[in-house]
Parts: sequence; structure tokens; C-alpha cells
Amino acid sequence: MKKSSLLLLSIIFSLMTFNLWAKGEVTVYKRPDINSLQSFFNPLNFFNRAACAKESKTPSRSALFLLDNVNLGRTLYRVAQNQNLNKNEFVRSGIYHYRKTFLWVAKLIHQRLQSGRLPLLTSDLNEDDDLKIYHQINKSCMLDQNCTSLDQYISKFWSSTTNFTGYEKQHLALFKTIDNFSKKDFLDAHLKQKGELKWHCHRLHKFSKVNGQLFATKLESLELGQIVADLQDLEQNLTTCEESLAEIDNLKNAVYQIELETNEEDKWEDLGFDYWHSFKLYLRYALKHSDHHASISGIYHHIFKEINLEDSLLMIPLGCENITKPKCDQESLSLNSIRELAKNTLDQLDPKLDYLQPLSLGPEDQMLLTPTPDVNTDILNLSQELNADIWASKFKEKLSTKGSLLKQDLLSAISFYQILSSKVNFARYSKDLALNIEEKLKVKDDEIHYLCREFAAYDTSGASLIKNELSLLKTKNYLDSLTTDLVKMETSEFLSLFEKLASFVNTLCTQPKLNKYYASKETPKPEGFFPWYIKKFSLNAKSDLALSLDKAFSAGKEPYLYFNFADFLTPGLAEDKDVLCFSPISCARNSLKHIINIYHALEYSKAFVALGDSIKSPALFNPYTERTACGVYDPWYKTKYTIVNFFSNLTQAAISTFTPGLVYTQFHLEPKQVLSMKQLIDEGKIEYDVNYSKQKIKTELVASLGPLLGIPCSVSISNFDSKAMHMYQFGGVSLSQCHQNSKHKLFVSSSGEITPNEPASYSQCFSCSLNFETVTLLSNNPVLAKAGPVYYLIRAFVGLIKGFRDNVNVPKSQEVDLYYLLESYRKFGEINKECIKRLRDGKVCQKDACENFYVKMFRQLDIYNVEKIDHSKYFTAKNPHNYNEVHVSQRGCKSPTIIETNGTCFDVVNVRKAKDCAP
Amino acid sequence: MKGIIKILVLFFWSLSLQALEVKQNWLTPIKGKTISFICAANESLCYELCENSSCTFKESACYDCIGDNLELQFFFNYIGRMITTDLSSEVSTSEIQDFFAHEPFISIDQKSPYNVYHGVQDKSLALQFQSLCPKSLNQMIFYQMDGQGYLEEYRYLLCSYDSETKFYRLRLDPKVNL
Repeated sequence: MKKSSLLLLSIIFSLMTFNLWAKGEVTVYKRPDINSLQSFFNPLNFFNRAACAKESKTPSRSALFLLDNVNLGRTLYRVAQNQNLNKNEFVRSGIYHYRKTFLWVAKLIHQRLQSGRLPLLTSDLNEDDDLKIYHQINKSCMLDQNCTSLDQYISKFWSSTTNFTGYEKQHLALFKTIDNFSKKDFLDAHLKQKGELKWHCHRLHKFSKVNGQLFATKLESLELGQIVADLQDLEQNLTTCEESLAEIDNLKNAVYQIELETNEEDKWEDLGFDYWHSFKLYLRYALKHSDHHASISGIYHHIFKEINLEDSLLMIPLGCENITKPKCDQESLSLNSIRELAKNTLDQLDPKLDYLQPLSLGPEDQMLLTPTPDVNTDILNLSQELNADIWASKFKEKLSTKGSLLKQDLLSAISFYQILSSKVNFARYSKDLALNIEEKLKVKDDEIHYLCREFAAYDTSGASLIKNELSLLKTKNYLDSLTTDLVKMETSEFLSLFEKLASFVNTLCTQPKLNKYYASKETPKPEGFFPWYIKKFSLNAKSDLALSLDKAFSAGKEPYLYFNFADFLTPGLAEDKDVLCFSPISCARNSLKHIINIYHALEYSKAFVALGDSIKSPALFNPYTERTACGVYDPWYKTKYTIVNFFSNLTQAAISTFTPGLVYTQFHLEPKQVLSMKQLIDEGKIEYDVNYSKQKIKTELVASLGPLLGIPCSVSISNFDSKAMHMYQFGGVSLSQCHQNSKHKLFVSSSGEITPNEPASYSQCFSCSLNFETVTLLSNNPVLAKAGPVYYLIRAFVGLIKGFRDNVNVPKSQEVDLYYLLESYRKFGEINKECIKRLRDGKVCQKDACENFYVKMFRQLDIYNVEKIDHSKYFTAKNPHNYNEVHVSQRGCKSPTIIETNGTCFDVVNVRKAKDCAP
Repeated sequence: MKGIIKILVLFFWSLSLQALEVKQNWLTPIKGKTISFICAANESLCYELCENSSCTFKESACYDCIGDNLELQFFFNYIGRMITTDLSSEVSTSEIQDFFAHEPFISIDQKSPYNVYHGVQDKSLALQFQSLCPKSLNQMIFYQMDGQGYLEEYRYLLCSYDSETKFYRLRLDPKVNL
């Protein structure tokens, strides 16, 4: 018996293996004219909403580097002017050299990181305490714009790393003298072999279906054929970074697509964020301080060192994954909010954008207002303008315009307060203001109305938001770090000044003699209020007349406070832009407007103010990054909910088996009422089949529900119908737990302000609900036991199937490998129907398993443009071992590549690559 | 037409009279930027600074200065307005000599390549610089850098007049009328 079985098995195996290498004998490609994909691209991952949210916590292997040269161009133009050089030539050549330098240094940093010459510097400062000095520096750097100590730290090992080959002992010894570095701090110690993380760089000219993951959540809506078509036109859409250097067609900016290739996905998931974090730090350091690339930068070397890299480079993850570990903090929310500006539909700044509001909601509230936005459905409207350069130009222009306005507001505000504090005597000003109000009372101008209403908004509880914002400003040292260098005045000082002024204004505004004025006046035109007030109270103002009215109120008079720097030309005549306030009342109103502007600027400062501290990497394509980090969206919620419900129904089915006809009735249940099951049983509020004893049911319930029996739970009732008789059947217990013990836990206050918790604090919440359903059908006879175990069983499985069919909130993904896709198309001349499933799973799909195997091998060995695979050749003179031979013909090669196999096609012994191929 | 020629002749004549020529050199690949003072026979500044008829000083790097920089934006927007000088308190050449010799610095004039915030022909900015010392032909500002190459503080203003050159201290002192 045994022998015959073995024989049978060996026959089957022989047939199979023969089939594997001999089947078909000669495979001719139907579209050999199409070039194989020789560039590396990570597989395209098509994620739905939940999967995209989930992936936000994964480090990205594909990124867009948006290199902006506008400011560099401006500087170069002026240098050329200063040095009497040909401006156009100098600028053009400078930008060519900068792009070349940038790409060279970026690749160098990658090489040094992946080969272990440079250590990984963690992005998560709470994670690893081994590098004590590094951690210390980072903590002290948090409030410092120009954190030179980090540069000094890197400088200790930067120059030595040129000669290093990895984390070998002697290098470790040097690193140990600098900080407590160990083998694990070097990337190559984690990779199986050196060079396992490869760098591929392309200049992206056009967005296409080759970036299909940005355009679709699943492949059904994006045909594989469309991707193939774009792959055939690949050269129109992108070129290699080296080739692209010669094209200086767009001086403003260049978009580079970086692909990191690795087979060690698990390691990448662990180390990817640290890789990117280190990459940014070293890139910034090298471009500033290293002379290694001086020969590439040429005469521009010292100019390039002075570029604010944070201003000129954006590193954008290309898809749902991220470059920076997602956090729920003010900085991340502010930074990710620039996604709105990247939308291609907006040529101009959309006035509805929160950044442009005179009283902004802030990025937190913006996020909460749209908890479930679209994702991977071309959310940036790239398809309207596929040209990557134009998209990047528009985006950067909007970013700069808004940034410039915001900074201008901030600078005006702090200058105003500096002047108020150093040049305006408060006692004198108070008198002037009181006098001004007296004058205005006589002529019954609206100006008093505007002043007093605006200040009332600051002081009354109805508009306490502004006051809250003011108090929050006091706690932000960040403002000090921005402004003390400029005006030598701390935030607290000008806030105190404002409070003193506000208190005085409110006293004046509430004096009894003003009552008559208020009573006699009609409500003034809403247009005269400053825009922040109009926004705050949703006034119906058609235009903004605040500034012109402000001037008009003091018409014919010399402005109250103005810059007189141009007095040497036209004494006493100030242009409007040099006027700080037209009257004392105008000064008071402006002081409030400036405070609001400061708060606004700070909310979005991370997005718009380049502080030179870190290169920005906003999650432009994944709005769920911040939503997941802040707990606004839980990618697993639907999955967990479905599973919990499934088990809950199963439990109920089990309970019903023992306690048939269990119905809760004859008492009034209110939603959100807090009860426990034990309480219900003890109070005898359960109706049940008379055939069962009360004691038995009670025992069964206690046994089934166990510890849940006594937990006080909130009652939830579905199918709630107030007219129905109060018949309820038990639908199960659901538990939910919010558990935030992460480093970035937050409280969200009513004003929308997010403040980090105290480091030691710990927030936890727990909720439980007893779920009931109203059952009107059972009202005539509640003990008929219609809701028996079968009902619950069916409901359990229906719920499970329905739940998991949710294509949006249950994580689902598909993957396409572009190389495999194109090879399959080349082979069959079409997308073979039988291949669709495999290709959508990211797998190779050729004629058979052997050829699948070979195609994978071709990619590794750089064997491209295959036209024919010939299995019919067996033994040649060059093959002394009598191995089987597979001859692979390639377009442009005179001789074939020969694969020698031993037995099966998978057992490759040797590959002799064709040597006479045309370049 | 005659009028224009007259103005041009007068302009070049005034240039030839200028006691001091200041040249910034941005393209010295090894040393980085430099600034040179070339003195006419009637100008003693160079002799006082370096005992020669022309002096060259190395400028510091100015990290993060090309591109978005809040400090420089403030500087260019408010020079003459918030950042002013007191023309009655001249700074001695020895103090300047000491500054050039020992402190890292950069020089900035109204056409500075660091100014990415105004147009090349911005009249308002020219006026702001001119307002610092209205009768001078040229103004140059020296910004002190920290040891690492980051902006620290605007320090001195050079005003070059027809026949002499003077240095003043810059300060945060808004020039306003109340």
C-alpha cells in the first residue's frame, strides 16, 4: 500500500515538474515592442478610507520632494545685479547647480544611512533613552528656532563617516565617545544585507495613473489598462533625476519622486520614520555645513549654504503612508491644514479657507467639522492639471502668499505693541481717548458704537472666546521664541498692556452718559466693524468698510499715530500705509484687532512660518493622518463594532437557548438611563416563558453575563417608538473603551484649543450599554419566544457579513506591482482576464508558474525587453553538466540570455546574461 | 533731452567725488562672501580700518537667510520705521575696526540679495534706507551674526557722504509721530 502510494505520488510529481518546465516550450511575447519597466516603483496600494487611515501610521516608501527655487532665483538675480553679471544666465546656471547639488547630497545621505555610516536618530523622543545627549539636545531645542546644538552634535561624527563602511567596532568606538550609540542605531545592522534599501529618484513631470493610488480607493474604478497605457508613456511623465538636470524648463520648482526599495517590510515599518527623520536632519546639516559637495555647487557653494531649506523643500508622502510619525498636536494639525492650499481647483486663495478668516476656527475645529472627508479620490484635484510643475508652482505660490500675509499681520501686531509700549504714554493716551469719545458723543458718530461693541465682545461672557484665546496666548512661549529677537518685548508684556487698555476702554464705554447716546443711535452699519467682529457675530455685512470708515471718522485731521520716517521729504504728511491709527479710538480698536491677528498667526504658524528648524512633510494625500492620531476617526471601529456585535448576538443566542422568551417589559426604559442587568433581575422586571422557573432564568443569566451582570450600563434602545407599548427585547451588551495613554494625548476644550496633557496624566474612559429593541409585534403575547436563539444566530451572521461588506469603514486594500502588470501585458498583448485577480493582489501573472518565477528573476537581474522564452533547448556545448536550458531572447540583443536549471525550473543553477545587447 | 544729459553728467561727477566705494563680493568659492572698502585719497577710513587704501573683510555665512526668514522680513519692512539711528551719536572708527576684526557679520544694503520680500525697484524701501541718513549717497548696514552663522542683531549703519564716511549705531526705536 505504502509503495503504491509513493509510486503514484512520484508519477504525479514528475508530471507536474515536467509540466512546469516543458509546457508550451516556446513562449512568444505578443507585445515585445513595448519596453519593460526598468525604473523601480513601489507597488501601488489602493486603500479605502479605513485602510488609508490605518496606513497613516506606516512609514512611506514613496515621496514627492517639492523643491522650490523662487526665493533662490530672487537672490541669484540680485547677486548677479550686484556683481554685474548676466542675470538670466546666472540665475539659470545657479538653479541648475542647486538642483544638482540637492539631488547629490540627498542621495549621499541615503547611502550613508543605509550603509550604516550615519546612525539613525530617532523621531520619537520618548521611545529610546539610550542616546542621552541627543535626547537632551532635542528637548532644549523645542523652543529654539536655530537649534545649533543639534548641528554641533552631528558635526562630531559627520566628517569621520566618509571613511566608514558601517557600524564596525572601530566606528562604534568613536560613536560611543559622542553618545551612547550601539549597533541597533545603525540601519545596516537591521538589514539582512547591505544595499537592501535602494534609492530611486525621478523628476515627475505629470501625474498619471502610474500614481493611481491617489486617484482611486479600489481597482474596479481604475482599469488596469489605464495604468498600462500610462506606463507605456512613462517617459512623458517622468525622467530619471540625472537626466532631468539638463531640463531647466521650469525655474520656479521641480518635483522629484523618490522610491525606496526594500524587501524587508517589517524592518521598514519599525525604522522608516526614524530613517526619514534622520534623513531630514542630515540633509539640512550637509547642505549647510558640509563642503563635501563644493565641487558640484561651484561658485554658488556659499550661496546655497544660506538657503532656508525648510522654506524651499517640502517632502510629501505619496499616498496614505507618512514620512513623519502622526501626532495630534497643534504643529501637526497646522501643518497638515495646508492640504487645502494644495487643491488644484484653487487658482486663487479660496476666501472660505479658515486661514483667510479674520477670526479663524483653528485647525482643530476645522478637522472636527469634517470628520470623514474623502480620500484617494483625487482629493487634490490633480486630474484637472496633471502637470506636476504647474501644480507645485500654484501650491507653493498660495502657500507663500498666505504665509506672507500671516507674517505681515504678526509683524504689524508686535510692532504696534512695541510702539504703544515705548512711545505712547498711557496716561496721556487715556486722556486723549476719553477726549476723543467726548468729541464723538457730540457729533454722535458711529465710531463709539464700533469701539464699545468690539471691546464688549472681548469682555462679555457671550463672546468669551476671545478672552480665552488671549489667556492661551500667555501660556505660549512659542510666541516669545518668534518675536523677542525682533522687538525685545515678551508676550506677557504686550498682553498686559492690552488688558490695561481694554479695561480702560470698557470703563469708558459703560459710563452712564453713554446710555443716552446708545438709546438715540440706530444700530450702525455692520460693514464698519472690523472683519473679525463681523465673522464672530455672523453679521450681514456685504463689504469691508472698517478701514475706510476708520479714516473717514478722522477726516481732515492729522493721524493720531504714524511712522514719520519720510518726514525729510514731505514733513507732516503720512501715507495711509504708515498710519498706525487715525485717532485714539482707532488705536484702541487696532490694539484688539492686532491681538486677534497674533492668535490667528500662531495657530497656523507651523504651516506658514519657516523657522529653519525642520523640513516640512505634510500628509497632503491623507486627511485621516490627523484624524486617526487625534482619535476623530478609528480605522478599526467598524471592524471592532462588527465583531463585538457578532459575539454579542452569539451570546444572546446562547442565553436565549436557556432562557427562551426572555423579554423585558412592563417597566419604563429610558434611553441613557443607567441600569445594571442585576438590578433588572432583582426588581423582577423580566417577563419570561411561564414554562421556565424564575430562578432558573436568573441562574442562567448570571452564568451567561457573568461579571457584566452588575456593571451599571447606559440603556440604549433602538427602534425606539414612543407610541409603542413598552416591550423590549434584550439585544446584547456592548462595551467600548477609550484608552489614551499615548505620548500625544490631548484634551479638546470647547474653544477648540488643543493642549497637551501633563506628562504624568493619564486619561481613560469606559462605557457600557445595555442594548434593547422595542418589539411591537410581540406586544400581544410577549412570552411567545419569537426572539429565540435562531433569531439571534441569524442576526449575528447577517450583521457580520453586512459589517464586513462595508467598503469604506472596514480596511480594504489592493496592490498592483507595475512591473508585473506591464510584463503580463507584454506577454498576452492585453490584460488577461484570468490574470486580473492575481495582478490586483500584487502578484506576477505570466503563462505559468515557471514563467512567473522567471519574470521575478528578470527584474532582479536587470533582464529587460524579453521577446521570447524558449524551453525547447536542452543541452549545449556550453552546458557540460547536462542542465536544462531556457533561452530568453531580448529585444536589442543578438544572443539569448541562458538560464540553466536542474530538474525543475525553480532550481536555477546559473544564468548567463546576453552580452551583446544594444545600449 | 538736454536736461537728462545734464542730470547724468552731474550724477557721474558726484560718483567720481565719492570718497568711499563699497564692494560686496558674493562669489569667492573658498572664502565665502567678502566686503571691500576702497577709499579715495581724501578718505581716511581705509587707513584707519586696515592701514591701506582699500580693505577687504570676510563676511559670515548667514544661515537660513535665503528664503523665508521672519527676522529679515521684519528688518526689511521696518528699517527706517522701527529700526532707526541717532545721527547725533557717531560711532568711532576704532569700534568699527574692532567689530570687523572680531565679530562675525554680514552687510546689507537696499539691494541686498537677502531681500526676497521687495521688488528690485521698490521705491519705498529705497526711501526707508535713505531716511536713515537722508543726506548720504549710500547706506550700508552691518548685521552681527552669532558664532554659528545665524542672525543676531543689526548693529551699525554706514552712511557715505560726498567727502566723508560715518558710522552710527542702529537701534529699535520707532520713528513715529503722536
